[in-house]
Amino acid sequence: MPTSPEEMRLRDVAIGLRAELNEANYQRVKMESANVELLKETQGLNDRLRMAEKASETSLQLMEKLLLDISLRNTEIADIRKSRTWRIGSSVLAPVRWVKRSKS
Amino acid sequence: MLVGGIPQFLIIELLKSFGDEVNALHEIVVVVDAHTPQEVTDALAELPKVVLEGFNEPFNFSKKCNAGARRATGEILLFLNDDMLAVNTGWITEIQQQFNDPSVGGVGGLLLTPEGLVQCAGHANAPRPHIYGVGKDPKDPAFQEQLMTNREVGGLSGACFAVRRTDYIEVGGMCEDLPSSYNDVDLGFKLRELGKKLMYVPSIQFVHYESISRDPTVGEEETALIWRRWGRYFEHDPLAIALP
Repeated sequence: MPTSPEEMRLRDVAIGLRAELNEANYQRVKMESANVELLKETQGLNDRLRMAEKASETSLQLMEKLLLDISLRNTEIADIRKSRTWRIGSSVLAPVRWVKRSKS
Repeated sequence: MLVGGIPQFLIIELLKSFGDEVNALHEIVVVVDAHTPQEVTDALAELPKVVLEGFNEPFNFSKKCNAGARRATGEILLFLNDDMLAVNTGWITEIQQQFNDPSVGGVGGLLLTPEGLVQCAGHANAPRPHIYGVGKDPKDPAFQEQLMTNREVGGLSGACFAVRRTDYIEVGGMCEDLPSSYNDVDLGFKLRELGKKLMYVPSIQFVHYESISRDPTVGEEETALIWRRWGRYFEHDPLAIALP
């Protein structure tokens, strides 16, 4: 059965377009799959970043608490040193300190 | 072409190299360019079974093949470049036997350089379509499985490509938007889309003087088109066997 050049060309174009469509779909699926992987990776990195931020925040809170404790203790020490009891004790123990210094 | 210092026309030499094989052929369609010398046309006309098909357009390998295919009347078409010489006999029977298997869609042979090395042993497709086995010695025992065994391949050279006429017509023949390169790659994929296999049969042997006759430039548009159609198959070729 004779076939015209136009008929052959149309067949080639039809098969070619179908092949191009399949190729485009293949590339789209591949791209989507790569995007899903990328999204997963981004989510993983975000999770790790959040955990690091949380740890940093906790560490900061602990440090602030520690500084507060130290400050309170310093205030308490200063108050004790200003008290009447401390001054009396200091006066009472003055001769003992004088003896110790003279011996050394 | 000069053979032994005597100018000879490739197509005439090719047809002469068929020898008695010509008896098994239904016809030999020769697509003749407008610039083919008259003496060649006259000499061709005298050869048995030759049918001349004129082609008066700018060079387009695919168009020429399609024109020849439309002119041909046999059930099996064998496309042969004119820059070849048959090495042995029995190749027509071999091609016919291959097509007894309905799952076979294309058959190609071993193309050799004049020095006897591989010019083409089918195509492999990853990471891009390319000729398989180039420069290897087909007699080397290390390459017997890859080069000297009948096997299914990812593509065949258009220089020697046999196909059923019905399949060829069904896929629209060779893509005329690929005038120079990749037309054979495209034809192979179109046949594979029909569910057919491409068979490399190394007992079919031709010497191919490609370096004499072919411009190696590959057009960007042709490259773009082949990737647009079949790029997914260039990521991995399960049919290619590694060459040591």
